[in-house]
Amino acid sequence: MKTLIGTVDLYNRQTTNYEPADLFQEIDEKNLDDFEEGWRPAINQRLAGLSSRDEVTAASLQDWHWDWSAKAEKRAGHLAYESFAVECAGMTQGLMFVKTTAFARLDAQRGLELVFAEYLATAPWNRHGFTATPTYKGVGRVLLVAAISFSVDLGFKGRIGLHSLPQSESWYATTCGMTDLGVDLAVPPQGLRYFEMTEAQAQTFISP
Amino acid sequence: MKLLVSREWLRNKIATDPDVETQAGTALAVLEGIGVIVPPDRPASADIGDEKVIRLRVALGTLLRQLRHRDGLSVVELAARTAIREDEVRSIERDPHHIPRPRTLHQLATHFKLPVRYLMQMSGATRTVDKVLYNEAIRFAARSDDMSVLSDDEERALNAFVKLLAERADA
Repeated sequence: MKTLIGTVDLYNRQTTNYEPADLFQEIDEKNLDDFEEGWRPAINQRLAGLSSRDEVTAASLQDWHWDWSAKAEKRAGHLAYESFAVECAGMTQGLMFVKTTAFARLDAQRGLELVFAEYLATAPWNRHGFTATPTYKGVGRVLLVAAISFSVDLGFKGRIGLHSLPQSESWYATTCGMTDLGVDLAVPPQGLRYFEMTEAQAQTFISP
Repeated sequence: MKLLVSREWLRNKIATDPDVETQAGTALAVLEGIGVIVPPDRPASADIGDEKVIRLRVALGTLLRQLRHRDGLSVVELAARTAIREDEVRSIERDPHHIPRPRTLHQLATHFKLPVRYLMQMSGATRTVDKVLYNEAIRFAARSDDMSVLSDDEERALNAFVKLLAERADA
Protein backbone atom coordinates (compact mmCIF):
# COMPACT_ATOMS: atom_id res chain seq x y z
CA MET A 1 0.00 0.00 0.00
CA LYS A 2 1.29 3.45 -0.91
CA THR A 3 2.64 5.15 2.20
CA LEU A 4 3.74 8.73 2.72
CA ILE A 5 7.28 8.71 4.08
CA GLY A 6 7.61 12.45 4.44
CA THR A 7 7.40 15.88 2.90
CA VAL A 8 10.52 17.37 1.35
CA ASP A 9 11.30 20.43 -0.73
CA LEU A 10 12.29 20.54 -4.38
CA TYR A 11 13.89 23.61 -5.92
CA ASN A 12 11.96 25.06 -8.86
CA ARG A 13 14.66 26.43 -11.12
CA GLN A 14 12.22 28.59 -13.05
CA THR A 15 10.59 30.36 -10.12
CA THR A 16 13.70 30.04 -7.87
CA ASN A 17 11.40 28.95 -5.08
CA TYR A 18 11.27 25.76 -3.04
CA GLU A 19 8.07 23.78 -3.32
CA PRO A 20 6.79 21.04 -1.05
CA ALA A 21 6.96 17.51 -2.42
CA ASP A 22 5.82 14.20 -1.00
CA LEU A 23 7.98 11.10 -0.92
CA PHE A 24 6.01 7.87 -1.06
CA GLN A 25 6.92 4.25 -0.59
CA GLU A 26 5.19 2.06 -3.19
CA ILE A 27 4.17 3.41 -6.57
CA ASP A 28 0.45 3.37 -7.32
CA GLU A 29 -1.94 3.93 -10.23
CA LYS A 30 -1.59 7.70 -10.01
CA ASN A 31 2.17 7.45 -10.52
CA LEU A 32 1.76 5.07 -13.45
CA ASP A 33 -0.87 7.31 -15.00
CA ASP A 34 1.49 10.27 -14.59
CA PHE A 35 4.16 8.26 -16.36
CA GLU A 36 1.82 7.22 -19.20
CA GLU A 37 0.13 10.57 -19.64
CA GLY A 38 2.92 12.94 -18.62
CA TRP A 39 6.41 11.45 -18.90
CA ARG A 40 5.87 9.22 -21.94
CA PRO A 41 4.28 11.79 -24.27
CA ALA A 42 6.99 14.31 -23.37
CA ILE A 43 9.71 11.74 -24.00
CA ASN A 44 8.18 10.58 -27.28
CA GLN A 45 7.77 14.11 -28.55
CA ARG A 46 11.38 14.90 -27.77
CA LEU A 47 12.58 11.60 -29.25
CA ALA A 48 10.82 12.30 -32.52
CA GLY A 49 13.39 14.97 -33.25
CA LEU A 50 16.43 12.79 -32.49
CA SER A 51 18.20 10.51 -34.90
CA SER A 52 21.29 9.12 -33.19
CA ARG A 53 22.35 7.58 -29.90
CA ASP A 54 24.58 10.61 -29.26
CA GLU A 55 21.60 12.91 -29.61
CA VAL A 56 19.59 10.69 -27.25
CA THR A 57 22.39 10.93 -24.68
CA ALA A 58 22.65 14.68 -25.09
CA ALA A 59 18.89 14.95 -24.53
CA SER A 60 19.22 13.02 -21.25
CA LEU A 61 16.98 10.32 -22.63
CA GLN A 62 19.07 7.18 -22.27
CA ASP A 63 16.21 5.81 -20.21
CA TRP A 64 13.55 6.59 -22.83
CA HIS A 65 12.79 2.88 -23.15
CA TRP A 66 12.06 2.32 -19.46
CA ASP A 67 8.47 1.25 -19.15
CA TRP A 68 7.58 2.01 -15.53
CA SER A 69 4.09 0.53 -15.96
CA ALA A 70 5.51 -2.79 -17.08
CA LYS A 71 8.09 -2.74 -14.31
CA ALA A 72 5.40 -2.08 -11.72
CA GLU A 73 3.26 -4.93 -13.02
CA LYS A 74 6.16 -7.36 -13.06
CA ARG A 75 7.21 -6.52 -9.53
CA ALA A 76 3.79 -6.24 -7.92
CA GLY A 77 3.50 -8.49 -4.89
CA HIS A 78 7.16 -9.53 -4.95
CA LEU A 79 8.71 -9.06 -1.56
CA ALA A 80 12.16 -8.59 -3.11
CA TYR A 81 11.15 -5.30 -4.71
CA GLU A 82 10.08 -1.93 -3.44
CA SER A 83 9.25 1.29 -5.22
CA PHE A 84 9.30 4.97 -4.37
CA ALA A 85 7.78 8.07 -5.91
CA VAL A 86 8.27 11.80 -5.47
CA GLU A 87 5.22 13.97 -6.20
CA CYS A 88 5.20 17.72 -6.51
CA ALA A 89 2.62 20.12 -7.94
CA GLY A 90 0.24 17.21 -8.43
CA MET A 91 2.60 15.32 -10.73
CA THR A 92 5.06 12.46 -10.27
CA GLN A 93 8.50 14.03 -10.46
CA GLY A 94 10.63 10.99 -9.66
CA LEU A 95 10.40 7.20 -9.60
CA MET A 96 12.63 4.46 -8.23
CA PHE A 97 12.54 0.69 -8.08
CA VAL A 98 14.86 -1.12 -5.69
CA LYS A 99 15.66 -4.76 -5.18
CA THR A 100 16.39 -6.07 -1.69
CA THR A 101 17.87 -9.43 -2.63
CA ALA A 102 21.19 -8.19 -3.91
CA PHE A 103 24.70 -8.57 -2.55
CA ALA A 104 27.68 -6.27 -2.49
CA ARG A 105 30.59 -6.82 -4.89
CA LEU A 106 32.98 -4.25 -3.46
CA ASP A 107 35.77 -6.12 -1.67
CA ALA A 108 35.24 -4.21 1.58
CA GLN A 109 31.68 -5.51 1.80
CA ARG A 110 31.59 -8.43 -0.57
CA GLY A 111 28.64 -10.73 -0.04
CA LEU A 112 26.80 -8.42 2.33
CA GLU A 113 23.22 -7.54 1.53
CA LEU A 114 22.46 -4.15 0.03
CA VAL A 115 19.58 -2.28 -1.53
CA PHE A 116 20.09 -2.25 -5.28
CA ALA A 117 18.49 0.72 -7.06
CA GLU A 118 17.35 -0.95 -10.27
CA TYR A 119 15.85 2.17 -11.79
CA LEU A 120 15.99 5.76 -10.61
CA ALA A 121 14.77 8.67 -12.70
CA THR A 122 13.51 12.19 -12.50
CA ALA A 123 10.73 13.31 -14.83
CA PRO A 124 12.02 14.35 -18.24
CA TRP A 125 11.10 18.03 -17.85
CA ASN A 126 13.48 18.20 -14.87
CA ARG A 127 16.54 17.29 -16.95
CA HIS A 128 19.00 19.77 -18.48
CA GLY A 129 19.63 17.90 -21.71
CA PHE A 130 15.91 17.41 -22.26
CA THR A 131 14.94 21.04 -22.05
CA ALA A 132 16.66 24.41 -21.84
CA THR A 133 14.39 25.23 -18.90
CA PRO A 134 14.34 22.21 -16.58
CA THR A 135 11.95 22.51 -13.66
CA TYR A 136 12.74 20.76 -10.38
CA LYS A 137 16.13 20.13 -8.84
CA GLY A 138 16.63 17.68 -6.00
CA VAL A 139 14.64 14.61 -7.03
CA GLY A 140 17.76 12.45 -7.36
CA ARG A 141 19.03 13.33 -3.88
CA VAL A 142 15.61 12.66 -2.36
CA LEU A 143 15.41 9.22 -3.98
CA LEU A 144 18.98 8.35 -3.00
CA VAL A 145 18.24 9.27 0.61
CA ALA A 146 15.16 7.07 0.37
CA ALA A 147 17.29 4.15 -0.83
CA ILE A 148 19.81 4.62 1.98
CA SER A 149 17.06 5.01 4.60
CA PHE A 150 15.40 1.85 3.30
CA SER A 151 18.72 0.02 3.47
CA VAL A 152 19.10 0.99 7.12
CA ASP A 153 15.50 0.06 7.79
CA LEU A 154 16.18 -3.43 6.42
CA GLY A 155 19.29 -3.82 8.52
CA PHE A 156 21.69 -3.35 5.60
CA LYS A 157 23.29 -0.33 7.32
CA GLY A 158 22.92 2.05 4.40
CA ARG A 159 24.64 -0.13 1.79
CA ILE A 160 23.31 0.50 -1.70
CA GLY A 161 24.32 -0.29 -5.26
CA LEU A 162 23.32 0.94 -8.70
CA HIS A 163 24.33 1.27 -12.34
CA SER A 164 24.76 4.90 -13.24
CA LEU A 165 23.67 6.19 -16.61
CA PRO A 166 26.68 7.93 -18.19
CA GLN A 167 25.44 11.47 -17.66
CA SER A 168 25.06 10.76 -13.92
CA GLU A 169 28.47 9.25 -13.15
CA SER A 170 29.96 12.41 -11.68
CA TRP A 171 26.96 12.73 -9.36
CA TYR A 172 27.40 9.28 -7.86
CA ALA A 173 31.18 9.32 -7.81
CA THR A 174 31.86 12.83 -6.58
CA THR A 175 28.78 14.29 -4.91
CA CYS A 176 27.48 11.06 -3.39
CA GLY A 177 30.93 9.68 -2.62
CA MET A 178 30.14 6.20 -3.88
CA THR A 179 32.79 3.73 -4.99
CA ASP A 180 33.07 3.20 -8.72
CA LEU A 181 33.60 -0.49 -9.47
CA GLY A 182 33.98 0.20 -13.16
CA VAL A 183 32.05 -0.87 -16.20
CA ASP A 184 29.86 -3.82 -15.39
CA LEU A 185 31.03 -6.50 -17.82
CA ALA A 186 27.90 -8.55 -17.15
CA VAL A 187 25.92 -5.97 -19.09
CA PRO A 188 27.24 -6.03 -22.68
CA PRO A 189 28.00 -4.24 -24.84
CA GLN A 190 27.01 -0.77 -23.61
CA GLY A 191 27.86 -1.67 -20.01
CA LEU A 192 27.17 0.89 -17.37
CA ARG A 193 29.47 1.77 -14.50
CA TYR A 194 28.47 0.08 -11.26
CA PHE A 195 28.63 2.02 -7.99
CA GLU A 196 28.30 0.94 -4.38
CA MET A 197 27.95 2.86 -1.16
CA THR A 198 29.39 1.35 2.00
CA GLU A 199 28.03 1.81 5.50
CA ALA A 200 30.72 4.43 6.19
CA GLN A 201 30.00 6.25 2.94
CA ALA A 202 26.30 6.26 3.76
CA GLN A 203 27.02 7.79 7.16
CA THR A 204 29.13 10.47 5.52
CA PHE A 205 26.48 11.16 2.90
CA ILE A 206 23.71 11.76 5.41
CA SER A 207 25.86 13.64 7.92
CA PRO A 208 25.13 17.35 8.50
CA MET B 1 10.24 3.47 7.01
CA LYS B 2 11.72 6.67 8.35
CA LEU B 3 13.84 9.12 6.39
CA LEU B 4 17.25 9.43 8.04
CA VAL B 5 17.57 13.15 7.27
CA SER B 6 15.48 16.18 8.03
CA ARG B 7 13.59 18.30 5.58
CA GLU B 8 15.96 21.16 6.29
CA TRP B 9 19.01 18.99 5.63
CA LEU B 10 17.63 17.99 2.24
CA ARG B 11 16.78 21.55 1.35
CA ASN B 12 20.28 22.79 2.24
CA LYS B 13 21.95 19.99 0.30
CA ILE B 14 19.78 20.49 -2.78
CA ALA B 15 20.69 24.16 -2.73
CA THR B 16 24.40 23.39 -2.98
CA ASP B 17 24.30 20.22 -5.09
CA PRO B 18 25.73 20.45 -8.58
CA ASP B 19 22.96 20.68 -11.11
CA VAL B 20 23.61 17.40 -12.92
CA GLU B 21 21.67 14.32 -14.02
CA THR B 22 21.02 11.52 -11.53
CA GLN B 23 19.45 8.66 -13.48
CA ALA B 24 20.45 5.09 -12.65
CA GLY B 25 19.33 1.83 -14.26
CA THR B 26 19.72 -0.90 -16.83
CA ALA B 27 21.56 -0.60 -20.12
CA LEU B 28 19.51 -0.31 -23.29
CA ALA B 29 21.20 -3.35 -24.84
CA VAL B 30 19.97 -5.67 -22.10
CA LEU B 31 16.37 -4.69 -22.66
CA GLU B 32 16.73 -4.90 -26.43
CA GLY B 33 18.03 -8.43 -26.01
CA ILE B 34 14.89 -9.60 -24.29
CA GLY B 35 12.48 -7.77 -26.55
CA VAL B 36 11.03 -5.28 -24.09
CA ILE B 37 11.89 -2.09 -25.89
CA VAL B 38 8.98 0.24 -26.24
CA PRO B 39 9.68 2.47 -29.21
CA PRO B 40 8.21 5.93 -29.41
CA ASP B 41 4.58 6.08 -30.41
CA ARG B 42 4.40 6.45 -34.13
CA PRO B 43 1.77 8.64 -35.72
CA ALA B 44 -1.11 6.70 -37.32
CA SER B 45 0.03 7.65 -40.81
CA ALA B 46 3.31 5.79 -40.30
CA ASP B 47 1.45 2.64 -39.28
CA ILE B 48 -0.80 2.55 -42.35
CA GLY B 49 2.13 1.58 -44.53
CA ASP B 50 3.46 -0.98 -42.04
CA GLU B 51 1.51 -4.02 -43.13
CA LYS B 52 3.19 -6.51 -40.87
CA VAL B 53 2.34 -4.51 -37.75
CA ILE B 54 -1.26 -4.05 -38.89
CA ARG B 55 -1.65 -7.78 -39.50
CA LEU B 56 -0.23 -8.60 -36.09
CA ARG B 57 -2.57 -6.14 -34.41
CA VAL B 58 -5.52 -7.68 -36.24
CA ALA B 59 -4.40 -11.03 -34.86
CA LEU B 60 -4.02 -9.51 -31.39
CA GLY B 61 -7.52 -8.06 -31.55
CA THR B 62 -8.92 -11.36 -32.73
CA LEU B 63 -7.12 -13.23 -29.97
CA LEU B 64 -8.41 -10.98 -27.23
CA ARG B 65 -11.93 -10.86 -28.60
CA GLN B 66 -12.08 -14.63 -28.81
CA LEU B 67 -10.65 -15.12 -25.35
CA ARG B 68 -13.24 -12.72 -24.02
CA HIS B 69 -16.03 -14.61 -25.79
CA ARG B 70 -14.64 -17.92 -24.62
CA ASP B 71 -14.86 -16.71 -21.05
CA GLY B 72 -18.36 -15.25 -21.57
CA LEU B 73 -17.27 -11.70 -20.77
CA SER B 74 -18.63 -8.47 -22.15
CA VAL B 75 -16.24 -5.60 -22.91
CA VAL B 76 -17.47 -3.86 -19.76
CA GLU B 77 -16.81 -6.95 -17.64
CA LEU B 78 -13.33 -7.51 -19.07
CA ALA B 79 -12.46 -3.85 -18.59
CA ALA B 80 -13.59 -4.00 -14.96
CA ARG B 81 -11.69 -7.20 -14.22
CA THR B 82 -8.45 -5.93 -15.74
CA ALA B 83 -8.71 -2.26 -14.68
CA ILE B 84 -8.47 -1.17 -18.32
CA ARG B 85 -10.63 1.49 -19.96
CA GLU B 86 -13.53 0.07 -21.97
CA ASP B 87 -12.68 2.18 -25.00
CA GLU B 88 -9.19 0.75 -25.01
CA VAL B 89 -10.48 -2.83 -24.96
CA ARG B 90 -12.71 -2.00 -27.94
CA SER B 91 -9.85 -0.27 -29.76
CA ILE B 92 -7.51 -3.22 -29.30
CA GLU B 93 -10.16 -5.64 -30.52
CA ARG B 94 -11.25 -3.57 -33.53
CA ASP B 95 -8.73 -0.93 -34.54
CA PRO B 96 -5.41 -2.18 -35.94
CA HIS B 97 -4.11 1.39 -35.95
CA HIS B 98 -4.55 1.67 -32.21
CA ILE B 99 -1.27 1.34 -30.28
CA PRO B 100 -2.02 -0.42 -26.98
CA ARG B 101 -0.33 0.87 -23.87
CA PRO B 102 2.22 -1.53 -22.37
CA ARG B 103 0.41 -1.48 -19.05
CA THR B 104 -2.79 -2.55 -20.80
CA LEU B 105 -1.00 -5.46 -22.44
CA HIS B 106 0.41 -6.52 -19.10
CA GLN B 107 -3.03 -6.40 -17.53
CA LEU B 108 -4.50 -8.52 -20.32
CA ALA B 109 -1.59 -10.96 -20.27
CA THR B 110 -2.02 -11.46 -16.55
CA HIS B 111 -5.78 -11.93 -16.81
CA PHE B 112 -5.68 -14.39 -19.68
CA LYS B 113 -2.42 -16.00 -18.51
CA LEU B 114 -0.57 -15.24 -21.73
CA PRO B 115 3.12 -14.42 -22.14
CA VAL B 116 3.28 -10.64 -22.17
CA ARG B 117 6.33 -10.70 -24.42
CA TYR B 118 4.24 -12.05 -27.30
CA LEU B 119 1.39 -9.65 -26.76
CA MET B 120 3.97 -6.86 -26.96
CA GLN B 121 5.23 -8.27 -30.25
CA MET B 122 1.71 -8.58 -31.62
CA SER B 123 0.99 -4.98 -30.67
CA GLY B 124 3.95 -3.76 -32.71
CA ALA B 125 5.76 -2.51 -29.60
CA THR B 126 9.01 -4.40 -30.12
CA ARG B 127 11.72 -4.08 -32.75
CA THR B 128 11.89 -7.83 -33.36
CA VAL B 129 9.07 -10.28 -33.97
CA ASP B 130 9.34 -14.03 -33.59
CA LYS B 131 8.89 -15.42 -37.13
CA VAL B 132 6.92 -18.46 -35.99
CA LEU B 133 4.69 -16.22 -33.89
CA TYR B 134 4.06 -13.94 -36.86
CA ASN B 135 3.09 -16.78 -39.17
CA GLU B 136 0.93 -18.56 -36.61
CA ALA B 137 -0.75 -15.31 -35.54
CA ILE B 138 -1.69 -14.45 -39.11
CA ARG B 139 -2.94 -17.99 -39.73
CA PHE B 140 -4.98 -17.89 -36.52
CA ALA B 141 -6.61 -14.58 -37.36
CA ALA B 142 -7.44 -15.72 -40.88
CA ARG B 143 -9.44 -18.66 -39.50
CA SER B 144 -11.66 -16.47 -37.33
CA ASP B 145 -15.13 -15.23 -38.09
CA ASP B 146 -16.51 -12.23 -36.31
CA MET B 147 -19.18 -14.02 -34.28
CA SER B 148 -20.00 -13.46 -30.66
CA VAL B 149 -20.00 -17.21 -30.03
CA LEU B 150 -17.03 -19.31 -31.00
CA SER B 151 -17.62 -22.25 -33.29
CA ASP B 152 -15.96 -25.54 -32.37
CA ASP B 153 -13.33 -24.97 -35.04
CA GLU B 154 -12.62 -21.49 -33.78
CA GLU B 155 -12.33 -22.73 -30.23
CA ARG B 156 -9.88 -25.42 -31.29
CA ALA B 157 -7.84 -22.88 -33.26
CA LEU B 158 -7.88 -20.47 -30.31
CA ASN B 159 -6.72 -23.14 -27.88
CA ALA B 160 -3.98 -24.24 -30.25
CA PHE B 161 -2.69 -20.69 -30.65
CA VAL B 162 -2.75 -20.02 -26.90
CA LYS B 163 -0.89 -23.29 -26.35
CA LEU B 164 1.70 -22.26 -28.94
CA LEU B 165 2.30 -18.96 -27.15
CA ALA B 166 2.78 -20.75 -23.83
CA GLU B 167 5.13 -23.35 -25.29
CA ARG B 168 7.31 -20.76 -27.00
CA ALA B 169 7.47 -18.70 -23.82
CA ASP B 170 8.67 -21.75 -21.89
CA ALA B 171 11.22 -22.75 -24.55
